[in-house]
Amino acid sequence: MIVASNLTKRFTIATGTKTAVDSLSFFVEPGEVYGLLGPNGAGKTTTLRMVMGLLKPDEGYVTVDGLRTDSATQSVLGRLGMISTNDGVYPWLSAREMLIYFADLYGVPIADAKRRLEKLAGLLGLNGVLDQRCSTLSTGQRQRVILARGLMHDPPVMLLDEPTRGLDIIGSRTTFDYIDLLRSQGKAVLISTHRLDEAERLCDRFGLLHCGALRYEGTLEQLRAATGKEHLVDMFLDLLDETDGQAHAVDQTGTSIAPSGNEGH
Amino acid sequence: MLELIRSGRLWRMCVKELRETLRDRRTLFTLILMPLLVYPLLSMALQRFILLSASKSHTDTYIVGVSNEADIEPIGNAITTGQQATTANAYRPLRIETQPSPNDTVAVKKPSSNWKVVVEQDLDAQLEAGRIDLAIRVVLPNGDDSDSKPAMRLNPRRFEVHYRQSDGHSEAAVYAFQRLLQAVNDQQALQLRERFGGMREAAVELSAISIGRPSSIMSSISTVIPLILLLMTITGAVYPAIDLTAGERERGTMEALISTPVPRFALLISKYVAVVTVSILTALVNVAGMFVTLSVGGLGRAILGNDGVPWYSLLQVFPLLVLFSGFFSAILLALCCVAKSFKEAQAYLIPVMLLSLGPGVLSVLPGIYLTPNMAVVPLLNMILLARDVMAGHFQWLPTLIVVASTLLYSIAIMAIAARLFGLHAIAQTSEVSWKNFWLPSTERNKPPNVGELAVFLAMFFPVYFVATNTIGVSENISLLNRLWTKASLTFFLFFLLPIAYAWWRGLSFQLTFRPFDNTRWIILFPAFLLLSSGLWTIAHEIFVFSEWLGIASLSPEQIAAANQTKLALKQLPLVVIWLTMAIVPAIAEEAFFRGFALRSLQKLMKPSVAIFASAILFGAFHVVAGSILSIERFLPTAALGWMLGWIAWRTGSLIPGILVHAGHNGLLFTIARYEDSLREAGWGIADQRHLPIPWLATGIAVVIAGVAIVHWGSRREGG
Repeated sequence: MIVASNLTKRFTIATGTKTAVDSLSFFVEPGEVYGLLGPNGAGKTTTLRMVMGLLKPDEGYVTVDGLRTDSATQSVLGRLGMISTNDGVYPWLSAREMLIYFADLYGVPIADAKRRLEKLAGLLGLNGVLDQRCSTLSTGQRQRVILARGLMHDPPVMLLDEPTRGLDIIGSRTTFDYIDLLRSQGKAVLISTHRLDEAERLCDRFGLLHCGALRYEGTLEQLRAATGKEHLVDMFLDLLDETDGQAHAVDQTGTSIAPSGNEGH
Repeated sequence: MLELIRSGRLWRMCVKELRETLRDRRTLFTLILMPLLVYPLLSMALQRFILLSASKSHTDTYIVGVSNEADIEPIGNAITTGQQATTANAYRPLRIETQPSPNDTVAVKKPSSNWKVVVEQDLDAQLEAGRIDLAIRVVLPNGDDSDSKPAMRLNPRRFEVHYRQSDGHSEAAVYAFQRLLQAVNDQQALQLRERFGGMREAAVELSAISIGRPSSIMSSISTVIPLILLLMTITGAVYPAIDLTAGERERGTMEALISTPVPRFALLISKYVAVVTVSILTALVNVAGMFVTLSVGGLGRAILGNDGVPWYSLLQVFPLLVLFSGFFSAILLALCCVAKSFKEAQAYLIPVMLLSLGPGVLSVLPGIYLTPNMAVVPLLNMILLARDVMAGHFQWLPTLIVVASTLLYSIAIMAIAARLFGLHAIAQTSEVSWKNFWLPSTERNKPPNVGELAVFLAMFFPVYFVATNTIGVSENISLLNRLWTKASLTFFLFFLLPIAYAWWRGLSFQLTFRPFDNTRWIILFPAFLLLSSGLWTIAHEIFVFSEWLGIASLSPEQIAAANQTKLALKQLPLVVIWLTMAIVPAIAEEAFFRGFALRSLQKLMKPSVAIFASAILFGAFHVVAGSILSIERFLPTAALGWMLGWIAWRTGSLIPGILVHAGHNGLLFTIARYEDSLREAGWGIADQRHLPIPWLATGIAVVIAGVAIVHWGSRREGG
């Protein structure tokens, strides 16, 4: 469903050029949850934006449902659902108004959107709060409204950017349930997160990103076999130690990049 | 975009933005509460001020200090005699008569001031402390005759008056005292004249008669009312503009919004509609608030007299407020698109608000008028126009230029805003700022679009307008120099500037200017010759038709000037005429109108509509060139533009259009140059007459043949 091939993205900074994503390739099948893992600044969000077609890669390409994201951006966006940790709500609209509005933006006929909304309200426990102004909703209710927003147009592909950051146990559990729901509906799910412990529980396959490059990829068993470590956290710490020991990587323009990668994303 | 409009989605998006904004209490505060509070408070403060100044003018009391009691009497006598003299029939002060109400002179009818004389010890100290307004010492000269008549008894005295400089009241007191003494002296002179010669007439008299209407309060408040209304309209737009852009980012809905398959320009348009609507509502509430306050509070009668509130003028200003809302909302949105947060947006907007006061202050200054050049200065043009409308001086030409230039600026600003909208949510890694817009585009070989065209036009139009107007009114340039200057300017504005802009924005030269394409020269060249030689007949008939419609009858002065130019043209070498008036304009104008403009418009509309729109643009530019509005040029040039647009589209190249355009222009000016020889040969053509039927028939046949060959002989570009 998602195929990323040789993705590379560079940004111009004061001292030269910084490679945020370096020759990254991966794929996500329908019904599969793929975790794009890495510390802050590893290039996860930049990758997601290239998958959405909002950023154009300098090299390589991404296809979603067979469509190139850099050329058919609008069609690709219509097939994607996107949930980010920073997402908010419109305080002066009711949850129903906001969700119908987003469905309309995705071109869902109003009657279909209303039916879909009733179904999602049942699945996500939003019955009874749909007509409340979003400003009056609790944090948990807001989170569920945001999760519902991602599914209003029933996209075949879901992108989740740090979906549990800043959430408490109950909030995280809601997200886990949501991801299970997506999997059960056969959607291709791409999650970017630095919460490796959670990723272990959530994802079917993993890609470990560091300094924009994919260091390991596979199922948990495959990674365990390759690294000899039990948990993703240990694998990652090893990776960091290994990089720290190496000389600074030099990118194509000759600019030195710190191994921990301090680029924003 | 069209699909969004057709499906009603854009409308629903606008409704959502508006609903969200209008539910916000902070919007309602600036929309309703501010005008409701501001105008009554302003009215009360103003009434208080008027009352204070009115009562002050009638109860001026001047306190005079004297050092001893003996001085009280002569000073009192002088004041009393002076006051009697100013109101006595016998005394005729040198005064300015005003027409049509000569009795309205303030100096005579104004009630006398009150004078109070007090004895103080240290006069100067008391004067300095402000306890007295004047300190007067009576100086008695030698030979005082105390038995004279009262008026005569005052004569030999000298009053030494001390007053506080730069103190209005003290200075007014000294002038009032001076007037009274003058009246006493005048009366004495009158008595002397009567005594010795029986003459009652003064040596000199003044009779000054004013012409025109008495100055109305409207002329002064007409500068202030639009300014207040404009500022309040801006105030209404500020909050929604911030909330719908930077606010969207701050509450975390921006990323979700730009992740939808709706073009960003459409998202921005929905926000723009909401901001403009709130701004217009604010303007309406303000106009209503001002109207009610002036009517109900009695202030209207106090400052406007019996004519009452100029509600018609306020209504006339309202469309201008709508235009202004559109312009300023675009500016606010563009600025807020760069901001990451509410705070940052406010930091950007405050200087803009302060800057916008500049034109307001300028408009109040004397000597600033809405000239055609001033009409392209953003913001100032609207304030000056509003001022003129309020004062009842409405003119079509500056109004049209103000409206057209403001619309153009608004579109251009929106095009820039669309480029910046949502960038923060995508490119967090790279800095998003105005730098992104001003630096040369890193993305190369893009096709042009309407946004690019609008931005270019907004930068280009004022330069073009001011330059052509300046050349138009310069009288000390010879025709030859004028032709070269105009040709150079045309080349610079329509050829070099678009090329520079295209390079800066990273536009593809081939896609923007289509220099060469699939022109099959062997087949098409005869067609171009036919068109360039036949089109002038149709252009001439359209010109005569415009005259017949009466949309632009040339004034006798314009016809005389045109004839003079024609005469002067006959002295110039033909090669210069062809170069400056045919070849250079053809190359430059084709590059811009049939290159950049048509190509950009084609991105948004069907080719037929785009050709039509580019023709309108071509016509409009020829109308505003020069120091006067040449409306008579619109139809012929727009028709020519339509034909050239069609040729460019059909052949996919600029070169055929350049040939036809240059041929057409060159032929017209050659005919004008050899008019006399042609007339001698029996081929005379009058400017305002129809062509002879055989001429016209031949011209139309030639054009049809040319069109047919181009139509069948060329492949339509891009299918």
